[in-house]
Amino acid sequence: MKIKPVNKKYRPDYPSKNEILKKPSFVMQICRQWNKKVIKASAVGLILSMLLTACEKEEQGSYTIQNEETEKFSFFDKGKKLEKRRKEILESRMLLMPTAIMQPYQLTEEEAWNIIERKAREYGLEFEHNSMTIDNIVLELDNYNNPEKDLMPKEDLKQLKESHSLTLDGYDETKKVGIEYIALPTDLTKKELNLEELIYIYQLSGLLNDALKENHEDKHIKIIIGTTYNKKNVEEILEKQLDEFFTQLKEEKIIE
Amino acid sequence: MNISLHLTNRCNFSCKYCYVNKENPIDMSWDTAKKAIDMAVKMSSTKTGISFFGGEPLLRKDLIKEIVTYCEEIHQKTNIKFYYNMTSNGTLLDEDFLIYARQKRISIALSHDGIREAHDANRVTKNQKVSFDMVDEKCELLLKYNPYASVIMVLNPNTAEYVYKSVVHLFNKGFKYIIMSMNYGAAWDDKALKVLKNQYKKLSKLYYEKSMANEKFFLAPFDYKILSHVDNEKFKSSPCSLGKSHLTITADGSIYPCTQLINDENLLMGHVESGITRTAFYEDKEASKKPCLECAIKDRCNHTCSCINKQASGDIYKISPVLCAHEKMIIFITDALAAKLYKAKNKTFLNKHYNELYPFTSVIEDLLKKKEEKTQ
Repeated sequence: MKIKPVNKKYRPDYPSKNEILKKPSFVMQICRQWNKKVIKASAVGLILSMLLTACEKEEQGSYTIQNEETEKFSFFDKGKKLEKRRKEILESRMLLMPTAIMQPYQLTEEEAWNIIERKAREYGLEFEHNSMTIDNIVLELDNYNNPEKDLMPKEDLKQLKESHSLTLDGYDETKKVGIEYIALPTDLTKKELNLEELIYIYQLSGLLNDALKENHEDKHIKIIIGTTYNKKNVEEILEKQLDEFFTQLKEEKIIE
Repeated sequence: MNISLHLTNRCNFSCKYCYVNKENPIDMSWDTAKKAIDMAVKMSSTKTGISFFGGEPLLRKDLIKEIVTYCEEIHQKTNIKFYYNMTSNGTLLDEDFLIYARQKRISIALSHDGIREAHDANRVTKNQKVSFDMVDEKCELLLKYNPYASVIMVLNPNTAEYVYKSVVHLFNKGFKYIIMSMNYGAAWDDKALKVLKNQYKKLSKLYYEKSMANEKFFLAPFDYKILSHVDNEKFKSSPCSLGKSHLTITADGSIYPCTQLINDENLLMGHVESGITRTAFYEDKEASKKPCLECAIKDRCNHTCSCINKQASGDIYKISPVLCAHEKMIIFITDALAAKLYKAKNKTFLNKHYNELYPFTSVIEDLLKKKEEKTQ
């Protein structure tokens, strides 16, 4: 047996704490997860302040480093470059997944639809499944000032800038009220993701809601992004979100 | 400042790999213990850690209690906080002491080498009788009073083939903190290291499965090695601090820099009566680590640990090829495992390694879970 050093190029395929703190969206994922669990608000506040301070300090440098690495690899050969880019896209998507690290349970589209239909009925709404498609949806990305935007693969950004169509899970034609539930995407490896998948990954329900309000004033549509935790918890969260929306419509005399 | 107090060199066991010289039985006197604590307090600003060591420290329950009472008095006067831990073969654990340990927050680490074949191969009593049953039956009692108790498993070439089964056994007993510690003093060869490598691979699979099931556990060296990358800045800034932040006091009051170096007169630092007469021990001698200078994992490796070097090569500065081979083996296996868990965005993995408050939040989580179970 001899002492033999490990090649200097060796690097583990998972990030160090310093590297991860440079990606604010990831920090947010972890914090969100705690928030939904049993940890008291004070602890979450403390964690957030600690971690986000670290992000603020180092945010700038990290993206530069990543670009430098990409460049270094780029001239070796095209195949490697493409493979690396594909990996980067996937990793960026995964990192930006707000709920990707809490996988235990998520409602299927069908389970979510059953809850939506039941809740709508409680408020006197007659939802029809997949009956309404809204075309020409354009997101105002200029209003999206999140630092995550810098991490977004160009493909996703390009896709988001295009005009989209969206078929709602439930829609009441008479009262012009609709709900769209967006579940956790199942395949992030695809080159082109659809609008719902992009909305989920980058948590853009706010932008989508704004776009719908802007161009479809006559309709009252709510976009709900699915959460993942345990079954009881996700069902309760969805019911609560629906209650809030329908109660608001009631207060605005849109429904009785 | 942390100190280890060898309360006695007597032991009811005679483990084959034990490095404590038991030829002349000596018990630490109260006077020696008191002087050792006074010395540690003088060297501490806000906290002092005390490890009760032996021989078998539970042979001196009387002295442990005297020491804790004395520390409490010091705390009243100076506000210095004391933390206690001990390593024991477990045979003398009883309900009274466990209740006392819980009240005084003494962490207990049990020495247990796993399944019968592994344990009995090296851990025998003073009368050369096997000890598996004696120790194994104490696990439940220990965990009843200290659910977070850790267990230390020593890895030896003659029992390397049982490592995986032993870890599973200890998990099944209910331990959540398992520390595998290499006996570098043993005659490791390529064949034995290969056996160990296969065992580590199996454990890596187990670690992955447990993490994916969101089970909470700590398995060293796997978790240490992941941390050595995740928190590398912290890890590399704290190499061996021989004699700087930790001292070992033998039963007769001699001061050494580390528990495993107490047999080397050349490393004697002083005596509790006369104080520390020699301080500068370990220097970061780059030249002595020449083969490691170009190594990609040098900041994650234990080659700066003096007692491992001493154990493995007989010299605190001389790095052993066994250490080099083992460190590479465990780091590569661990890195592959961690990368897989990271890609899976595993909640337990991310919390354990990236969330500094996890130990705290995890305990809260456990307490609330327990409360919930009770109400149901």
